[in-house]
Amino acid sequence: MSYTNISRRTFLSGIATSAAAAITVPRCFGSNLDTAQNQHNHILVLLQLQGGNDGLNTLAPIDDPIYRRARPNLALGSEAIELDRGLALHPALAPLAKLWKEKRLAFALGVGWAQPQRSHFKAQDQWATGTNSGEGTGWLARAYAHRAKFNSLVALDPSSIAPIEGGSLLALQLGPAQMRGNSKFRQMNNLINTTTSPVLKRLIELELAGAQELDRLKQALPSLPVGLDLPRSSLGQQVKLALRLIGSGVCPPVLTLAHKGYDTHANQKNRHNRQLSQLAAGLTAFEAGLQQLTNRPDVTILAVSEFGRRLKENGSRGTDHGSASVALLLGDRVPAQFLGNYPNLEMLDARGDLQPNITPPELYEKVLSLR
Amino acid sequence: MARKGKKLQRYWIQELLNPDTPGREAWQVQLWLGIFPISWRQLGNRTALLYKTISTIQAQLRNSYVDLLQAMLLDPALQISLNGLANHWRKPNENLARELLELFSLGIGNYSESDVQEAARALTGYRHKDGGRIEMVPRHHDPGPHTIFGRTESFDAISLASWLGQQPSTARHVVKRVWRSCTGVVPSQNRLEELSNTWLKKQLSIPWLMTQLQESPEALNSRSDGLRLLDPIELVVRSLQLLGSDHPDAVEISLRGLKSMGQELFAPPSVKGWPVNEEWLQLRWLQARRLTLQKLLADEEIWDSSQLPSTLQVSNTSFPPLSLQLPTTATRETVGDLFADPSWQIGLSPVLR
Repeated sequence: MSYTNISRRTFLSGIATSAAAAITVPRCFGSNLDTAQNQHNHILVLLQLQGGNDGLNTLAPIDDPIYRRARPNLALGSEAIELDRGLALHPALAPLAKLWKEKRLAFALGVGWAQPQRSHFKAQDQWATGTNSGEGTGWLARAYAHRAKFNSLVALDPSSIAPIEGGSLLALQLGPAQMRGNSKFRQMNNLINTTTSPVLKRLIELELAGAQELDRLKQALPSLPVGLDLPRSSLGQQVKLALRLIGSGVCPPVLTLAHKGYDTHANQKNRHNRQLSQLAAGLTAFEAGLQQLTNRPDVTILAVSEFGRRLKENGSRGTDHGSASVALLLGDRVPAQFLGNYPNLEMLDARGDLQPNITPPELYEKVLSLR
Repeated sequence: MARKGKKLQRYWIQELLNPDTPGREAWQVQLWLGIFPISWRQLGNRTALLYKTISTIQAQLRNSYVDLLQAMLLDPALQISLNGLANHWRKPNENLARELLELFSLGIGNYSESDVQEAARALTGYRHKDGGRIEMVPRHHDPGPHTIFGRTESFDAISLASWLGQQPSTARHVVKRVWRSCTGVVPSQNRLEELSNTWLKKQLSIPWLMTQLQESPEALNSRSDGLRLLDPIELVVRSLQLLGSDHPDAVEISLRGLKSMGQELFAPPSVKGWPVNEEWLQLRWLQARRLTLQKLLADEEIWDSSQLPSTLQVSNTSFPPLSLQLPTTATRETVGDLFADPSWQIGLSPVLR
């Protein structure tokens, strides 16, 4: 018990210093942003690694004999890229090592709920709302509620929308369907006065507001800097749209993305390798795009997953749903390179899972303090 | 597992589509499934238990709410989804007892924490026996006495449901939920008192309640003033019925659409059931409603197998369209206009004629 408390206190004490540091690093802004306040100068990008990413093989405690014993087939070997504290990156994430050296990449260690749910759905609800019950408004909807400057928060993958829903700002979906679609809502403007039904009025108002905001964002989208090589994957396409929004001068303060396929119950070696290669390609493309964009706001990318996986590999050369995992932070306002402590492999919980030392709400608080 | 869930959903949407079910029975079942919400995802490989839940409800539609409550407390799917089978006298699990008091009977604020603990003890020892029945196993059961809502006796699931069914707050709570769910509005305080008191005198008869609902001023107002937004399943079924196609594509597009509209069948978001009326006003869900209806209409095979009426009549709608004059010739374009008209999403629950 005291083990958890100490590490939590250490983690929380780091928040104040890094928040102060963030404010002292202003960036240049284009003329269209001259009137913007500091908070407008930061875009938070939430990337959900859906399915339960295996934190133990994303950032592996490479020298720990317990790790090697529990995973005779899956433990990473010398091909892993050692960072610090005996932790090593999965080789598929090699392209990110450069960002680590440049202090643009950080990891939160041992993130998870105290009594984790093993259901994807329940766990995703908990992460989306930042509450143990998994009920209520999205955590980002709450954090950005009643900020008069903004109209909307935007989901670039439909399955990533829950954290931005239920607040005072519009939770907008912007994907291939919306990019293609030509909204026919203009006529609804006239309809609104022809009905006395309150629920119908509200429906029309909401759809109209959404359509107008969508049009506003779409019209402001610039084309991307030339020569930028973006992966053709779904993640690559989301990154592309994110970069265009960030370069538009009217980017909403939150963008949410999703990368699916982390549920590696069987033959994990190849599947996880493929997933992480896609992730690395997406993130390096994002980073390359950010470097090329001029007059852009600061950007922080937070990548999280609903849970990690069991320490012990299963009989199908995969891993089952587990508990604490790593979260990844990338961008202009990244604090210390490690947040929290790597879970102690000798102190598993009753089910044989890693014990978290940072709860998702604590991680969220930390990330929001970077604004 | 997912395949079994899909099969169940396919079966159920066909039942709801069937215009011949006597007395809107399927829709009444759908109503009670919202009040006793069970997600197929919680049942592991026992998804098929939900077929039994459907027939459990069906069997009580002509009886009283107490009968329904008793039957549901012995329903395997409900027991599993609320951890009832893990409830043992040595280590009571309060999940089922809490939801019973909060959602299925008295309503929040009308009971104490000690009522929950005592009810949990009364519900200990129910186990899933061979043949699929839930039975009380005396050696796992806490015989009490239990003090619940002011009465002390040796309660079990059956006597507890009867006792709760005698409480005015149970009648009020259930009337309120049914009215809100079906008409979109809650009756005034006086009306609620009057309705629930009379319902108690009628021994919580479900047919009586349905007749009252049917003839209620709340339903009348809601119909004329357009006070209720349809549930996604109601919108989808209404649209499919107008198209009149039984092509498999229609069902597949609908089931997928329902998920993105926030109402995947047999997967309610929580024990509180589905959103109601204006709670559906989330931009994402509204976009999904439009998109799904567009897809249904754009599918060539559905269109080729459709059996549209020759004319779109006023009687095809439940609230006058805002952008379309009826009657008009039924074409792909006018049906598209009707589907796109916000008024197409307004109406009473199909439980009501």
